Amino acid sequence: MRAFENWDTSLKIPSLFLLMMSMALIRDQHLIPLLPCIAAVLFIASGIPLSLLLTRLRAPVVFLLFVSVFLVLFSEGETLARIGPFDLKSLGAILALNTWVRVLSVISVGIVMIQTTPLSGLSGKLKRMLIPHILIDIGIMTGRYIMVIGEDYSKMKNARKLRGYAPGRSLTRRLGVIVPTAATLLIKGFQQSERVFHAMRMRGYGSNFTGDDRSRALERPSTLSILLSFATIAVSLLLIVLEITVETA
Amino acid sequence: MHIPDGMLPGEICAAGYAGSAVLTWICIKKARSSSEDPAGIVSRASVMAAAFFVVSWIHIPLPPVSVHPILAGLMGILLGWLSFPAILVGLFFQAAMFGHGGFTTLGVNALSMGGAALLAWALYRMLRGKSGERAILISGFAAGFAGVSFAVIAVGTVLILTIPAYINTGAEVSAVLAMAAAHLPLALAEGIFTALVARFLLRVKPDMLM
Repeated sequence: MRAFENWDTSLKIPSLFLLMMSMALIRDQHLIPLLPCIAAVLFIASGIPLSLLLTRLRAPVVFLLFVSVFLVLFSEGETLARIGPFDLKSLGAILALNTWVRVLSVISVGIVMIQTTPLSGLSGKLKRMLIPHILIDIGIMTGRYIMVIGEDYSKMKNARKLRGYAPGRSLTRRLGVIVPTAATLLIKGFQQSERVFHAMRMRGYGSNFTGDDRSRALERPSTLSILLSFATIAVSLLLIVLEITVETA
Repeated sequence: MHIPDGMLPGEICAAGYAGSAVLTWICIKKARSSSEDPAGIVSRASVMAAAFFVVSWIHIPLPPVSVHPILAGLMGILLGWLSFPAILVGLFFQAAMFGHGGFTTLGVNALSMGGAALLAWALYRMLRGKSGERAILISGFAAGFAGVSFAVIAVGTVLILTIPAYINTGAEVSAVLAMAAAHLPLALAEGIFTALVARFLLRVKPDMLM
């Protein structure tokens, strides 16, 4: 875990992102088994608990099920089995299995990337990666205000409960609660954005390069960071070359 | 609605990022031309993106289930050009915090959802006309309904077109239509929700509407 946390962010994010993109590129079924192996090595080395991976898989599983059913039912080729009026195709089953393996592998690498990246100094490092300043600033402030506005929402919900308000099952009655709640949150957000805007102007927002950024820009990545990035990029390029070779063969 | 990591080929993901980068640049440039101060753009886009993120936790009852709003139409109405970068950032947070969507597919997801927000905004401006409550209800409903519909069609088309060629064309078209039909109740619910929120804002804080 320590090695991954000490891996310089400005090298780690592009390296792991390249790896994810190259894994997404793999379509040949002979190369697919390589993907979970690579993902497992990274995941185990990072020391992230497996429970986190399982939590994160809840959202994509529904999507994967939909695609799998579609592939198994509507692919061409030999029939593997028959359930009622539906023919389950063998080619579709293979494609669905490949999709599951690829998706789970790429998601695992994504979790390693995001969970081992410390938030401190992230903005300076992202700016070094040529990501537009304005987008990074929007991202950082969004992250901060999700917490603030989320707290407002919790307070509103608690206040409603304390007043003994139970919306019941009726759709119109529920909408009568949801709409003012959502609109009030948006109005609060809008008013907050105006206050933030004035505060930012007062602090001279818009002038280039702060001292903090300059000192970070001079930092050199450690040997460990360079080695880890080199290995990750090498694996990514190897995957791309293998896929192209197999495809053209 | 969000395409997860690993579902799309690498070249499509790269194209999605390229398209998103261009559209983000255009949107920020357009937003800047209407507001000279960069602090104004950053504060409005980020705080409103956070507000939208939180509002998407609220579930709309749609018997027998409840769904969370996508808010593409409402974002378009309230943020205009800024809706695209705000959605891009919001999608990043959804991928990082909950695993909805993905990092490699961020560009494609942003193009479908953010593009839907921009189209919904254009439709809202076209229909808005007069400033009465009836006009805001109609244009708000149209924006909310169109926001979901555009996003579903975009995601469905990308998915079906990138699925291997061993699927027959008829099945591909049927799948897109089935996906659109399955989302029709959500589009209707979101249309009603957007219309009512827009009317509430017109009554309480009309300067928020673009």
